[in-house]
Amino acid sequence: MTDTVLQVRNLTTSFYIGGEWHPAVRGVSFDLARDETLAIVGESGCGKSVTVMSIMRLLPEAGSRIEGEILLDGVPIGTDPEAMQKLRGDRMAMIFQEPMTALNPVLRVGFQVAEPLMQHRGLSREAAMEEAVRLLELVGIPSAKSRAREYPHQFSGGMRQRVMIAMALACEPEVLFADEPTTALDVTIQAQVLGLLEDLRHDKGMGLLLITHSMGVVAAVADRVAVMYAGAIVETGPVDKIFAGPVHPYTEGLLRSIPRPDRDAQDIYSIPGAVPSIDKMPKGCRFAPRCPLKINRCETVDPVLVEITPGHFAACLVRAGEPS
Amino acid sequence: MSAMNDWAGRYRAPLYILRRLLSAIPTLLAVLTVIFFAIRTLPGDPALAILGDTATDAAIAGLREKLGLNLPVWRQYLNFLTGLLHGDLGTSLVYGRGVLSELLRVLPYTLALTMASILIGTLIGVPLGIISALHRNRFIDYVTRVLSLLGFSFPVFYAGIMLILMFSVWLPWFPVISSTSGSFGDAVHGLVLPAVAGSLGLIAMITRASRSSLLEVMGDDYIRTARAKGLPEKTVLYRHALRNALIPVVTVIGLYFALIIGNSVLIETVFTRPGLGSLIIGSLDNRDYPMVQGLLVAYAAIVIVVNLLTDLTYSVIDPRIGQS
Amino acid sequence: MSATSASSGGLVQTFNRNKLSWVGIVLFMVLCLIAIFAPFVAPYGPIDQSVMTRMRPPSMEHLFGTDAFGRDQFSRAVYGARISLSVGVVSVFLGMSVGGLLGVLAGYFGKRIDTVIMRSMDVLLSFPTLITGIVIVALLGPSLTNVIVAITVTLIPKFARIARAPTLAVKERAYIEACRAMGFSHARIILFHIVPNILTEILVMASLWTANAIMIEAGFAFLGLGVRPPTPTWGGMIREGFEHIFQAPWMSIFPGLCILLAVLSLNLIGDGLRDALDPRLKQVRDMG
Repeated sequence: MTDTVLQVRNLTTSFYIGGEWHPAVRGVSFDLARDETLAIVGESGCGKSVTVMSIMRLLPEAGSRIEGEILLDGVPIGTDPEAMQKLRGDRMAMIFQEPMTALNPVLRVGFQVAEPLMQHRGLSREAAMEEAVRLLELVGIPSAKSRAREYPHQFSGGMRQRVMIAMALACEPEVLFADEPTTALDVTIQAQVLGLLEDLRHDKGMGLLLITHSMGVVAAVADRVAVMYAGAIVETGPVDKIFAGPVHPYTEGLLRSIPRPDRDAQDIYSIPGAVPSIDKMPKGCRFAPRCPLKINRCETVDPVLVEITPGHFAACLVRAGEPS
Repeated sequence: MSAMNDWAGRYRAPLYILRRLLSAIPTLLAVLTVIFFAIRTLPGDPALAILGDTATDAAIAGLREKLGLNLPVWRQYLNFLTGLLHGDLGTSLVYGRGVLSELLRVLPYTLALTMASILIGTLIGVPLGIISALHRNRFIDYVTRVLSLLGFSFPVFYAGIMLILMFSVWLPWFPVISSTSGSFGDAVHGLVLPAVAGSLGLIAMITRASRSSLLEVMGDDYIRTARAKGLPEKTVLYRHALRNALIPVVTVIGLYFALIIGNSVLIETVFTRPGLGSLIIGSLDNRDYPMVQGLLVAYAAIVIVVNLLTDLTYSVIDPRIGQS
Repeated sequence: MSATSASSGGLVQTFNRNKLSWVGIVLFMVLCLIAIFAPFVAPYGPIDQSVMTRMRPPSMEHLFGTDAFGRDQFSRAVYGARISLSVGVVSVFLGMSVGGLLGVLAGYFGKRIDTVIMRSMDVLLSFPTLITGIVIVALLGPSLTNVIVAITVTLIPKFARIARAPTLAVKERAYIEACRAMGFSHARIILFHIVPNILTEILVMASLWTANAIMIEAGFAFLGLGVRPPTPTWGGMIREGFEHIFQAPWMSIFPGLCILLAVLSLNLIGDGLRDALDPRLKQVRDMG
């Protein structure tokens, strides 16, 4: 694809726990195009956030190790902290899950939105503040001019998340990471914020990487999806293909667990068992202990992604087989 | 509704101040009552104390009449309160002058000592706390923590004596008796050792408070947001972390203001300085009860005012305070 | 109940890991033993004067030197430990009992009782600690008992505040509701269900404030408001030594070091306790 803006190749992130390095993300690769939404989906503890935090280099340096290659516009981004700092908030921006705590309580909202502009565009404080008001209007905050002078505690959760979006968009980034941007919000607000993100992505031609645990959110906004389990991508492809014909049993499980209006709440399916913790990973396929299709071979062989149909990959010994 | 909000927003701070002022009144009244009756239970007859053992009974009776000691207690109490309203704290038995004017004469010395101690404590304690937090669990952190434990354990008068021994006796850099006359330079010169003695405990407290508070704040979500914006680490620290981290430090300073004002009794005795502390010691020795009473009123007023100021400083630093 | 013992096991473990707090415990124990066995530790009598050995610098015969009356400063310091430690421990015990009880009552009953108690505490807290103490000692006259009374009075409002906050939290828990539903008396609920739950927090402050009380006692003695001479106290020894600071600096240096050691040991213990308690405190907060 010529329009690829972000390429991630073999990203592996390990943490130092109890005297050993344990990988939380294992050999993750994916591409993100301009004006595309890629959703990374999985239960909590699957390494979704760690993947994004590794790309942004926001993990604490002590006790973490990041390997692999990341290309922005085809150019590898270095590991130099200062170069990364210049990229962050300028060409790559991020929105977090908790709008309640992600804004600094003692600084005015407008100033926080204006900060990236002063930092990366060298705008004066006045010019940046004016631009911040325009951005707040863009994300749909009423009477933005006066609200820019208020503090985060004077905003509701949904409004705060809009502020976060305005802040992330300030420098018109090429890639926007959104880590569960709607999880902490009311259902009605969720739809509004997701809609806003989609519109803005399209207007600005950004690549949007959306992290979520909800297949419902994926269905609503994503073009492509990558299902992550225990630090690795187990299935990836266009949303319609995956929803129509999921291959990996984990993807199936996630799809079955979408709440549906035609069923009772207690009938919602949940995958038995839990994600293994990072220092207790099983050998072979990491989903095997929870998998209804498990065969003996699953306990020894770690499956790799195999192309099922063009653009649709899955890693399952039973369903996708092994590469020849 | 929004007009209401506007109104509440604009008058938030003044309203808060007013509320705090009003809530201090009952405490103040109770404090004055306690002072009045405590002084009345002190042993000895003030008239006898003034005139000495050789005075005639008639002279003593005359003075008692003049001092209003023959009135019923409730009348004396009312006189005390109305006197206070007019700024009349009575007449010193020893100096023969108004208690208030004597108080106002020595007050600047104690305030200068206290302020200087707080200044030193803050200027040294906050940077030490930051350095300690930034080098957490490394050598410099351990040194700082042990030193602050020592500073915390040093009795203030012992610190004063050791300072005199080192910097007045062995190294003749500072005067043994803290001069308060002469030029401004002399006064400052004389203030150095007493202020350092008074600041040791505060340095320790502020170092600890700013260290632990900064460590806590650095883990907050908005710090991650600030980094995701691509701000340099220095800006993250000074603009985003420090202001939040200093909120608890202000409380520490407020709480310890009373302690330092109290400790000035010891410091002023060690360095033979005038001030509230040496005045109360002298007045207790001389059984100068009006003076003691006035001093207690002054101490209570200072403590109440400082508590109020601490709250106000709070509401300036932290925009969330005062919102209910 | 088993949950409590499990978490207190964790408490002991955390405390054990902190080596400095063990230094504090050992140091404090040694000082206590010295105070108890003073007659066996001290080489001379604490008030034995000797014209021949006035203001001698430290030597093998007189470890801390001698004072203007030729008294052995080491022996005086050993006996001084008795006053300092007993004032510290006794006044904190009294302050903790009275203040802690007031705080628990205020928190438990709330409403008017709370207002009356805490407002009274506010009044006491409106004066600097040292000033309240000095005035009380002056009011009652300088003596060991009165010094203890004065320090106790200054500690009561502090303990009341410390005890009230956790009482409010514990009061809301389900099992206290259950106790009430079962018709337990207030006294029973407070003594057997509230007090054990807030005791650890109070004990942390108690060790830190014992350190503080020792400093205050020394301060009183330094101002001449303590136990009457010739009974030796560390603060009193510094007071006498300060008059001879030019000729005999050891007279002030050594008693001061004694105070420093005692205070330091208690602060080390208090810090260790607080660190051990802190994670548990956070847990309690999270559960609430």
